[in-house]
Amino acid sequence: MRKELDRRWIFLTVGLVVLAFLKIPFAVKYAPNEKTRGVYNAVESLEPGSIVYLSIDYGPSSQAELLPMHEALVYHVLKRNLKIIAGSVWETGPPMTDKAFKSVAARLQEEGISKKYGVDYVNLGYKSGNDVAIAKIGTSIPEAYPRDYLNKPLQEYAIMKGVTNFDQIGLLCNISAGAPGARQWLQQVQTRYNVRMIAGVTAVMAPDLYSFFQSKQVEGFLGGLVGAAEYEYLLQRPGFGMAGMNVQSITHYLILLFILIGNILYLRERARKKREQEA
Amino acid sequence: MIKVKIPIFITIIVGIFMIAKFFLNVLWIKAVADELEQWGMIVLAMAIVLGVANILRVNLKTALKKGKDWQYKLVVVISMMGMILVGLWDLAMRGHVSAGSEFQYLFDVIYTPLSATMFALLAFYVASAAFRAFRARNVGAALLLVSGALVMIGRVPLSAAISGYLPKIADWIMAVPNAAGQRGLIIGAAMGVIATGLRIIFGIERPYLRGE
Repeated sequence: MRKELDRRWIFLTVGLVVLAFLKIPFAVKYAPNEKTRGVYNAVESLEPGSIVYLSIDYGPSSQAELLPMHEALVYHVLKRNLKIIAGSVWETGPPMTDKAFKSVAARLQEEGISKKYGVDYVNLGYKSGNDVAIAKIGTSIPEAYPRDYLNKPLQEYAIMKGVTNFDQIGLLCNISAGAPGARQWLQQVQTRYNVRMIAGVTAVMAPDLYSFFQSKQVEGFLGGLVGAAEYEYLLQRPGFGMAGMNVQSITHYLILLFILIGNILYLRERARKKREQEA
Repeated sequence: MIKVKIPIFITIIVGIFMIAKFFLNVLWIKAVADELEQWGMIVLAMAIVLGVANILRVNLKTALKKGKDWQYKLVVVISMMGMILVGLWDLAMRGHVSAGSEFQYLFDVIYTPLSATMFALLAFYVASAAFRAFRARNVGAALLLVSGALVMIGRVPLSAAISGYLPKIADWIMAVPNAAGQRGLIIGAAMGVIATGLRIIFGIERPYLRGE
């Protein structure tokens, strides 16, 4: 018996299964958990006209996992007539913010809702400095960001009128794929200024946030593509999150199958070696 | 001696002001700490410039001497300088590097697909690694394997369609054993950060002076 299967067979199987199930639909059942409901309820609880500060701390490498929840959140916030001030402490964040704003504004336009840059939402761009930058944004948003991503002074925008710090922010939301991310926002801003906070993170980061959710520092969070799918389900707005659930479900089961096969082969090999030693 | 004393003095002053701002609501302390934060951001922004200069120096040197992997290093230098020049051009002509700029175009058509492709490969490597390494060699490994498998299948909506218990089991593992472990780690790390922070602020530990 061969001890190791050529890994190229595994790659081929995963590739074929992913491609096949992109086109083969089957029934999945959404049961949004309390973390996803927490995000939804936090946005729903805001009065129209309230401002949400959205920190977009990820790049194209994580867009498959995070862009769906990013767009769903922007859609929910703008549809509820709330306003968004978006910044980023990742240099790859501002283009992702642009992308989400454009696609959501177009979708809302199709629904007959018009949203304007500078009035309903603004992209402040990138701020270098990691934790220090986050602390500075907490102290004063206009001092940290004198100009937006279009390099125009913030005073030109109606949305920024009267906004100096997090006293004027109704909800802080961080979507991140690493550090600096949700934990740094919790440490530097949420705890210090007692701001209401929600988050959206990659699946591998989600275990980090359970403690903060239990301590109610984070009112809710979305973990990975499944978090995005559950959120889209709550919004009754199918998007890339729900579209990716068939493939993700099957791939998880496929990996489980690989683990089982690997362990069966391993245990058989171990039993054989034991028999040989006894003989 | 002065080369050691001045940095230690600056560290003590900055450290004390930043801690005092966190705990005290005194206007002048807050004003000084805010100013220091601004300086910190400027210094960190300058660190990016230094980083760029260093990447350029190291890679250009190897590329010119045709050292090991010089082709890759040349690609790094050309890509980096290309993006910098295009960005500067956009700043001069348009005043920004956002939507509609050439810089944004290059980001969208080169960086985005390359970056997403690299990350997408993870699915294949995870499957291969799971097959080859995730094995029940002992009781601890078996526990890890079973809990990992339960979380993995419990977190996808197909499992909810199979049995309502699977998502609940996955959520229990994450909310109880995982959160307990995470809390231990967070509290332990925080204590370490406090101790190290105080040692640095009071000049007992001086990593910024190469331990001098």
